Amino acid sequence: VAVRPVRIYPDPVLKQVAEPVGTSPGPDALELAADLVDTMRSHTRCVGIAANQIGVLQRCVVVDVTDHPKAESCHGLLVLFDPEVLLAEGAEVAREGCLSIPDLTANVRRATRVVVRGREPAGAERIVSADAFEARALLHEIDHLDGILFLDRVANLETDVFRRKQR
Amino acid sequence: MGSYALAAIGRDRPGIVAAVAKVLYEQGCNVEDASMTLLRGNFAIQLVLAAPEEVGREELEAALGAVATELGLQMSVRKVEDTADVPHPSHILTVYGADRPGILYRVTEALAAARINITDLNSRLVGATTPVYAVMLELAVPDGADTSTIASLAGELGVDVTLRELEDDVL
Repeated sequence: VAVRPVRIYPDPVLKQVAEPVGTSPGPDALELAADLVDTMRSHTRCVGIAANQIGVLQRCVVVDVTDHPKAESCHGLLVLFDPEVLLAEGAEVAREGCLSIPDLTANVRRATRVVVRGREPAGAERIVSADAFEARALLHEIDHLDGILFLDRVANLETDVFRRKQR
Repeated sequence: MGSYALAAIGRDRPGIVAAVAKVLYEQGCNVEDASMTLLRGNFAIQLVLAAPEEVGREELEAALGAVATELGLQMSVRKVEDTADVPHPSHILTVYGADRPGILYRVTEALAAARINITDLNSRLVGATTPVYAVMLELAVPDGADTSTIASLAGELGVDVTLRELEDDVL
């Protein structure tokens, strides 16, 4: 169990698709999950991290939005292998940043309510129904597993307050 | 009423906007569209204003001169046309990658060749060990415009390129 260095863009691992862990997470997968938790906790204001971000191409994310002012649903520490988004609805634009792209933030449109299915370290299937900031954090981390960064989803420029497409 | 473009840039400090806005207010000018931002410690002002008939470019420059000197701003004022008939953005393009010469040039060259108008552009250079350049553009893409050359720049320049339609939900 250890804090692992966070990979920083343009490290190619951040643009690669991670592999499924499968139905029975082995010792390596459990160590990966524990390292992700430790690494997330070592960074202030970090609410989630994905395996790609520590250089491992295995589908594992951890999210914890406990005590975050923008959180509504809160499941405490979530550790999910092979997470998949079963349902996503609503849309909201909000500013995001990422440990792997320091110093940049951008406005990203995300669903406001999601249902995510994954597998817990103990091996049981877990279905999480999340909204608001927890939904955003889950979607951001699951994107990492597909090599998608928040910059790929920028909704508009910061200066876009008044502009609207008129056709 | 005449329309004028005012451009100013100077080392950032509190009070730049207030000082410029005060002069414009005292001259009876109306600030219309403005874009102001901090660029690596330099504060940049771009705005278009409507001035009363009796206030021309020379009067504006004279009135703003003291503020420019006091705050160390490079400033220019010139007469412009005020037109509401402008291209409307339809797409957002994000390009980012390890910094290298020519990213902005090659991307915008491809846009120009496809007759695509840039309506807004922000770029940032970040990163201590490996500098990363990220540029985000809003574009007015004409119907039938060929955007394939833009996607092909990704491999050529070693950057990540995303072109998407702007969402125009009205809430």
